[in-house]
Amino acid sequence: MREKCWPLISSITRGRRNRDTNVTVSGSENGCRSSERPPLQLAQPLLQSQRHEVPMLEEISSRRWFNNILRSLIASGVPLIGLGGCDCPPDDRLYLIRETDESIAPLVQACRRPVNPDCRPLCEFVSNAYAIVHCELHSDKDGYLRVHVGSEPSCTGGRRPSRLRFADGKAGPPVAQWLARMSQLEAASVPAFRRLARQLRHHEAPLELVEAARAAARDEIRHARALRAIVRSHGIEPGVPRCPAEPRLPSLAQLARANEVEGCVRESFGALVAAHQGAVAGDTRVRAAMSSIAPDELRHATLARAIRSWALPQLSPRQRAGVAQAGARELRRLAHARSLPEYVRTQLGFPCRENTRLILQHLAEDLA
Amino acid sequence: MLQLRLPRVVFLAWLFTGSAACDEPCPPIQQTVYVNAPDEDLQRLIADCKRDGASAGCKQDEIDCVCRPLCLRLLQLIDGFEGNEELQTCYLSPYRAETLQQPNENNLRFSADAIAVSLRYVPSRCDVQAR
Repeated sequence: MREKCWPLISSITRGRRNRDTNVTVSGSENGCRSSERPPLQLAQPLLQSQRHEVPMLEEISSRRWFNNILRSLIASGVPLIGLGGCDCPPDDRLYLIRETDESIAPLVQACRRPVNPDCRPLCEFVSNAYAIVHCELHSDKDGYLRVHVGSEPSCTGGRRPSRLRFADGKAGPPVAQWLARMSQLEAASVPAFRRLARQLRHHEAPLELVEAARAAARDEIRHARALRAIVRSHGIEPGVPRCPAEPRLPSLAQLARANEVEGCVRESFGALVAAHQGAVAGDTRVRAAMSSIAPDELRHATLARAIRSWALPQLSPRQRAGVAQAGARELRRLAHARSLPEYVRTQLGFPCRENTRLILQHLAEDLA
Repeated sequence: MLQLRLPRVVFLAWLFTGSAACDEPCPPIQQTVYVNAPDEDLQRLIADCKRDGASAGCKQDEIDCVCRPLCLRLLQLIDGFEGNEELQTCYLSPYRAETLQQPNENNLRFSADAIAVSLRYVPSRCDVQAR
């Protein structure tokens, strides 16, 4: 049985607010547990965020893109679960297995075959990760089978500036480390939006877009502060990322390409993730913070689409193709870069896997 | 002149890089260890660690934390190093409570007493990976 959060989304896209909606789930799949189904609050921030303050943004792109994606997801019965992002602490796991059953034994054999050994099925089986970058079966020790799985993790945040360098991760509980990286991403978004505003002004973009970018930078200051406070409450310092200044302003084509990747793809994706986190994160402070962040992120994603609509007509066909390719590459990257330790995922409210691919697919169709 | 200077430059370069490599600690390794069906010894250590709550863990400078014996035993099990590794942090995640009450097809096929422990340690040698 699929988790059924789609009736909820459906009612929301129609603009209804039914606080009694409680979607029941009799089972789960795709690594999702029934207890993590999103409550109605999932989309309330999105509804609020649809009240744009910038008329031009409404004219250019409004919320149609978002509703289109939701409609597609509803049509395919896909629940709004299964998202990730990027640039989070590496995920290195070691599985110590003492009792092997009939489901794991053939996988171990396949991995230990002298000719053409294949360990990947074993690593996928034990870890439930599919963005595996390291997979190795070590020698047994004290009766334990040792499976080493490294996977490329992901988390979402705001728009990243070019030349971003994250501060080193501090020692601490895994949840705090992930939060620290999320907080750094939000902090990095502040200069990213300020630079965007400068770049837009340089290329004589409509003033509404410039102002919206500045407002977004102010939003990101709030986001970074909120997340930093949560990280500190976990007992570690979040660290400050470094964003060296760009040597020169980008061309319009470069601006459009960066906007496609950071805005149209990542922020659209991030808005959905933030909404989910705001609804279901196990950590109540994260839930509260993301509830207020989600509407902002959606507005930023809408700004990205408005910039796209302004910039693309000014580019050559070849440049436009380059923009589209950059967006498609980022979508593919997001589809592959996703794997979280289970406890971290539930605490931070990241949706479960598998539907990421479908949601990104709908996002890709929307951007095409 | 050049002949005299060259060996000196090489020597200084060697001194600099060589001594730096000797003194510099290895970068810490952050790993999550999942244990399926822990043996009796581990079960006892887990029980001791859980006595202070499921999220118990050893932070830096808390050498005598109740979870330390469990963490050291796990380090012994997972690492392939010959020397003594410096344990920096160690947290027991409430993995069982959070994920195994409702196991599903895609979830880890681990028994009900499985645990997850997050470790961060500095290996004694930088040139080998845990094996």
